[in-house]
Amino acid sequence: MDTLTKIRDFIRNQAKVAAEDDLFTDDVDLLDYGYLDSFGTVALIELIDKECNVDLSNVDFYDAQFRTIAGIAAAVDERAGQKAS
Amino acid sequence: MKERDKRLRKVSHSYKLDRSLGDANADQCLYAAAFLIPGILDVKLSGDTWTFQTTHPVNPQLLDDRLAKIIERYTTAGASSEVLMELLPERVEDLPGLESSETLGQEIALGLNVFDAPFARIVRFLDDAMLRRFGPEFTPREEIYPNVIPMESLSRANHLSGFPEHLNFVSHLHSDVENLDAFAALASETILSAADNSKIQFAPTELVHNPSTCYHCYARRKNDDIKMDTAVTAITKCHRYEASNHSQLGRLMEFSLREVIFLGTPDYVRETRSRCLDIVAEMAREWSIFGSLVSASDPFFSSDYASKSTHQYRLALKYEYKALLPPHGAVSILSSNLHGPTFSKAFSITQNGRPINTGCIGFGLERFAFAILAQHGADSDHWPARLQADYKTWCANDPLS
Repeated sequence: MDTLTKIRDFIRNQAKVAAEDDLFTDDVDLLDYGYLDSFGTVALIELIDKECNVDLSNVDFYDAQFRTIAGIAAAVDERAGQKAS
Repeated sequence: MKERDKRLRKVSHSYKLDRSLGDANADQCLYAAAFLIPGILDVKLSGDTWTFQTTHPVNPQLLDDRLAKIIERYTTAGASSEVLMELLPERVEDLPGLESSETLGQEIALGLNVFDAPFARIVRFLDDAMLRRFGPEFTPREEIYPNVIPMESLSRANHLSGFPEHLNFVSHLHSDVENLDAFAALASETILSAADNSKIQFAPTELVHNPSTCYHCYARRKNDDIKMDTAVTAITKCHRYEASNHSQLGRLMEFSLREVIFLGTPDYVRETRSRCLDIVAEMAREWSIFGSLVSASDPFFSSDYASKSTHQYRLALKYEYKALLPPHGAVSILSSNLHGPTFSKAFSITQNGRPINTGCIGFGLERFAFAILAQHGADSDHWPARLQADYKTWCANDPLS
């Protein structure tokens, strides 16, 4: 499973997003629309650490690029790539 | 004699505990320590030594265990406050301070004050002045709310779980003629006090004193779909029980909270917040209200404080104006908050079918008045020019002046 799908599925489950919710896209602002809160953020950081072996500190996590699923996935892939090389 | 001094005269037990704060937030720990057990009259911290004054003997080990729990709770991951603006006097020692003022009213119980003129007039002036500054900018609709709110509304908003220590419940007598007659007979025989509670049958509690004004705004819009971005303003008397912390100046149990509340798209709520902070900074400079506009977090009492607090700091959800309260300390006189979709989700409020964001700015009017008196004195002739001019213009049209 790719990173994007992993993160999207996790947030969908965590925030109990309804299947018919068409606002829930890879580019929606997760914080503005309540798909991530303080608990969700902590849980997502743990998931990424465990499943992707990438440590996203809180400082990184609140940057603008981490407010969307696409942004988080890109950042995780980039950090994983840096580790591999 | 002040209520705090009266209470301290009843001190019969004193306990010293050695426990290091480590990385914990000292202010939060000291504040929360007042709630460790019933009967704490005073808490002091010097170095690693905590001193508790209590009304009755307690088990020091129990006190220490609970203190350890609180210190662990308020150990955070290093989120730090951001200073947006700061306005300081040349010398804090030159400010008059509150102790020299004779205008602070009468403390009738811990945290409950009766205020007289000119304090009462300054509070009315400040409310009017806030409306004049924020009204034209946001054209809020005015609403009148009760001073109490159903417990169910606060439960939906997660206030009950986040701030259990502040709640002040309201109840009436159990509606049974026998119970009412028994109560009336008891009341006619004696001056009732808390010691008589066991003889009284209260009805189950359904209402709580407002901890904040804005909850009514969301609760009344439950299941609504609002058609456009909306600003609302209201003022209520709010209650927050703070145990022995009420002995600190400015920490009233009941206070007047004027709020302007914003409901709409995330962009609208963010833009109004940005404008609110500009107006606050402008007002502080014009009136020479010494203090600083800083990011803050709510004093969540729950065990998830660290994650909630970090979340608030990192997303800059809360700003406060901490006004100097000379000779020592500072007090928050207003706060500007972004809630994201927290309350719209709790109350199912949408805008054209989409979840909305909410935000608010709230002014603690008595604290604001304390700050003016402490910084500039009770004689308005000696206030900074713009503050003095605004106050005198307002007084000229005040039917009570």
